[in-house]
Amino acid sequence: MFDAIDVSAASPGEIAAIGGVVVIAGAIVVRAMRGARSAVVGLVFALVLVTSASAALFRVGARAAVSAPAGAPGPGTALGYVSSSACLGCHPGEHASFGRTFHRTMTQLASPETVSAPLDGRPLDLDGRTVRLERRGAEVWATLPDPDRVIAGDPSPSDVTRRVVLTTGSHREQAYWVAGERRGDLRLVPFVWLVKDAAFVPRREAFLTPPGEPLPPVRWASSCIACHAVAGEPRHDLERDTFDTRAAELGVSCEACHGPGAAHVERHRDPVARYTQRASDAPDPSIVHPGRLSPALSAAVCGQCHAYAFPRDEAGWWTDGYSRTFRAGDALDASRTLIAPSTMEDRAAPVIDAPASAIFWPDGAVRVGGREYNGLVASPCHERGTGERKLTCLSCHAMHRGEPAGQIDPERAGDRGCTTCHAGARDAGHSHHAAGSSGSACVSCHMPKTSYALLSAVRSHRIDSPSVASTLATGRPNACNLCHLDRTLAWSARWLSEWYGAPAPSVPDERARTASGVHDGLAGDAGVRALVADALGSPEALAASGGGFQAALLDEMRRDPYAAVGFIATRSLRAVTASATAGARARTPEERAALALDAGGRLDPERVRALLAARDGRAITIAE
Amino acid sequence: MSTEPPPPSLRETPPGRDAIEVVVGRHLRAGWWSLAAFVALGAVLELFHAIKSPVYVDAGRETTRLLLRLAHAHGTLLSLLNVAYALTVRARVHAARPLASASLLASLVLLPGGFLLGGIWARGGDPGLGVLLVPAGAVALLVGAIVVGRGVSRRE
Repeated sequence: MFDAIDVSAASPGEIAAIGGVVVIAGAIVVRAMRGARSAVVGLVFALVLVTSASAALFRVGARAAVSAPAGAPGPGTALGYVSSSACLGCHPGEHASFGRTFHRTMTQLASPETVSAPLDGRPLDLDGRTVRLERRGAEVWATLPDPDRVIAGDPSPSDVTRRVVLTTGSHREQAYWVAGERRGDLRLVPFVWLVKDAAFVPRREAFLTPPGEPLPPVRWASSCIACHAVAGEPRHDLERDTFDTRAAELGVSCEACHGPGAAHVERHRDPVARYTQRASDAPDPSIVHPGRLSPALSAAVCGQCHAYAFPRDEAGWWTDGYSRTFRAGDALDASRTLIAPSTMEDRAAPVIDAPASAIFWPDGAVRVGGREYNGLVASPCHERGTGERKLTCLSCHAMHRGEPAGQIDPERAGDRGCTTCHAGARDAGHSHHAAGSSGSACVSCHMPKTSYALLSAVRSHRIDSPSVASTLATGRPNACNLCHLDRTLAWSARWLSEWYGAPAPSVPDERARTASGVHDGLAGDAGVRALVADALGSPEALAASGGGFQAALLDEMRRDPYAAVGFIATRSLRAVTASATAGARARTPEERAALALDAGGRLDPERVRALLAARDGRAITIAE
Repeated sequence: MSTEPPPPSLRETPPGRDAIEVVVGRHLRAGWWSLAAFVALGAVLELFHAIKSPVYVDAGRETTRLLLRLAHAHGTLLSLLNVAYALTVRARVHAARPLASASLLASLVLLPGGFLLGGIWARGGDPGLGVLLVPAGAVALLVGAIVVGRGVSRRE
């Protein structure tokens, strides 16, 4: 239970108290045993012996010093924040359930316990330079080319060895930060650890970036602090370009969603106030409960991070972050401008360091994962819903229930997030897919995986319906063809027209004769190719499309110039190879032609060349 | 200066009535006063909960909370044990052995005292050095229980 006692840290008061107890016990023994001197000696000797022996059983001595790494953010200065440690005493269940989530571990002080990657010092090669992560006692250290010199463009920067200060992420990827040369500056180790794949990859390959193009340099205090900590304050010194970074708590913790807790803690020290509140149906005025906010404000709690936005007061943000302009329960508008394609065209709007085409599809749907709020507020279920029937994050998600991955509320799992309003859709055979099949799930058609983040396809949170016309106009794959990858756009248009009366658009010849998966996997832009590479390995698409073409197509996609696309294709190829449902389906000559397969089941080189020649070669960077 | 007569050695013969009363009185006093003290400790801990004292309920105070609760529980039970021992001695004089008396009184001090000091000076997940008194108290309690058990097993 207890593994160490640090004797050196014992205070004189502690030693005196222990001595006092021993003296009292000894006096009692002596007094009680007058007349039995030998027994007195025996018992006192036994007690001393046992006490000494118990001390020897512990690893007595000073423990290895564990201190916060230099460069870690200091304590926050925003009023009213007390950190999640103050919540535990009264809310142990909520503290524990939140503690299971990946939100909690979004940012952590680096230690052997918090770093997921192996710390054996294995050499990681990056363009002929070696990077290492290793454990030194209770600390984690990295050897890497001097990150500041790399950013400055030095072609041969010297190696530096620095203590790892922070970690970012724990679910899909984990990145590591070391101190930069300027005060308060944190720079990334150029490798990230892929948690599920248990592999290091160079950071530039972990994001969707054009080949040969370096990722823009990021600093924790400017790029990450707003969402990966509670009430983060960059405290940037513009003149010296240094930071005095502070945060109420690292990671996304209680007060990110419930607002600062000091008033609540103070109020509820009074047991009368506590029990009065329990007996009342009124919301507690001293704390924010997202579930009792209006749907719009409830969504804004999540939207403070899950949105593309820009601070209205940029200068103020560089000092205080959002710690003084936003608290859970506020509307987002007062503190930030939600970014949309229309705002990016506004000359007065802030300039975003990425083209609109890399952030949004042409129809305005966000194509970057983790920015679900932008999609939600553009959904008819949110825009047109009212009262209880207005879609909000909590319509499907729960912070304290469900599996940490996805955090779907168990009571809203399956279609129940939708059928609370659309109760009749399920019974009326609306999906035209077999009941219980993946194709019959509401999200399969209305929330297809058309966003991208962290080497994965992510569900769009702009609720809409499959539309071939939209695919032709925007390039955004439609839900039908993300499962039926072996079918053409014309095929999807026909069924959408037959089942739902959708107007059949005019499909260009090439799209009408080429399976959507093949076309988009080879000729789409890099973001589309990444989505298709992911879909090709998904169990849903394997079941819907049948096997026989994915391996050849993915083998070609592994050679994609974007490393991220190649990585996803390789991962999907492994899934296809391992899948029991990936056996070849009997196909007609027309179907084989649509898949660009020759009679031997290989990709037709001529068709491949033609599709590659038609590839949408726009540079796409999705650094999320 | 104490005026109590020394309790006789009880190895061969049962003690006299005066000696028995000395032992009984000592354990009743120790039992009831320590019961009052450890119940008071329990009330203080309840108060800490009631006012959600950060020194007691906040994250990082789990070890302190556990050890103080153990001090309260052991102190209360050992207090009652000493009262029970006094009543046992009245009923079965062979139980009135100095070693048993000394052991039970020592355990009443060492066991809850060790938990209390270990909790007050806990550091993170580790107890304070006072917890080293706990094993000694446990041995004293074990010795006391064995000696009393042997005593009450003897024919009067």
